[in-house]
Amino acid sequence: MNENDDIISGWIDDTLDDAQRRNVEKTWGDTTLEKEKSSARRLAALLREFSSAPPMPSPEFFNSRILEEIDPAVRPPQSVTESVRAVLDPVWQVFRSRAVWGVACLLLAAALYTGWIAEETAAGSMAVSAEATSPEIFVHAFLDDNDRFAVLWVDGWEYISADHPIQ
Amino acid sequence: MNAGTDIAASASEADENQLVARCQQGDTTAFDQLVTRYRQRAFAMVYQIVRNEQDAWDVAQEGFLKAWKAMPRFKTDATFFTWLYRIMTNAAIDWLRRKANRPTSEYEDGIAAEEGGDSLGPPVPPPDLELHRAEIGRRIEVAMGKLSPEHRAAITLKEIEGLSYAEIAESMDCSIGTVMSRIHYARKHLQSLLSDLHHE
Repeated sequence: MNENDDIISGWIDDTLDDAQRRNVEKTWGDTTLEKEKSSARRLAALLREFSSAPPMPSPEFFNSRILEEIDPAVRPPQSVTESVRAVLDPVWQVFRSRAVWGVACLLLAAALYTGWIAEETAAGSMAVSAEATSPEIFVHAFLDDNDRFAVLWVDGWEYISADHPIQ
Repeated sequence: MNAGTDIAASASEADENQLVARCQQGDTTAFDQLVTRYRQRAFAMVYQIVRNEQDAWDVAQEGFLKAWKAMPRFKTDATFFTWLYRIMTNAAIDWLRRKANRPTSEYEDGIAAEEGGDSLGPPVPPPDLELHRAEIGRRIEVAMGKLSPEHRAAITLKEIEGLSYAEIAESMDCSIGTVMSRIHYARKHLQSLLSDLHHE
């Protein structure tokens, strides 16, 4: 096959202008060209006969796959996290306002406790830790001036004798 | 073509232009309708080039997705299918190139060894007509598989899809001279590989 032979296909398929066609006919001659044309026609018939495409499998799925790619609205959740979120989102929408109120109430209660109750408790009370005469013994005392009581907690002794001096 | 057919054709064209215009505004339901309208033709055309049902399905998908992305650039002075044809052809050729760059599987190696290089070997005597036809079909597929993606696409578009040289040149984004050359080479190659069949 020569490099310039490809113009023969142009002649076979009738795509050449008059000058090109005359040139081809002059160069190769009628017999060769007719033989080429006949051979090309048989090949074309063979290709057509054995080249029927099957019907497209799953055509509806074909469309849905394309829509999933191009339209986020029809895209299914991509992961387990997204699936869980898809279920929880409506629930969250319903309870969101109540949850906000709940958190606000908790914060208010915490503020009241620290501002009033805890402060009041701490105002007249005092905790004291002291080391006793022995280094193994620790004494903790909780004193309340308002109610006038004291709690004494001693660590390190099994018992205190009645006559033991306490500093 | 009679007057009734003319009216139906122009109505269909107007309908298509409307669908295209809606697609260009981002209407995915309009694109869904265009896909439904052309999916079988696109699949069949791609199948002729890639020669595998699953691959043709995937390549046609890829082609439609490319078409969607390129939709804002589509001008309605061309028909939608001609434009889609070009996208599908390029997608199929790209797929064949990617396939050619992949290492061949043991199965494909086995087939190549069985075929023994360039020669396709003598035809197997037919036990019956169906088997004989299956054998011819297989030999045509093997012969087409020996062409480059561009040669395979050119001969497919010419002999099976029936496109003109100008339409093929537009589809493959090349000159008419290149189309002529590719078709000539593909014919000669297939004729030599299938000589015993097309002289029957």
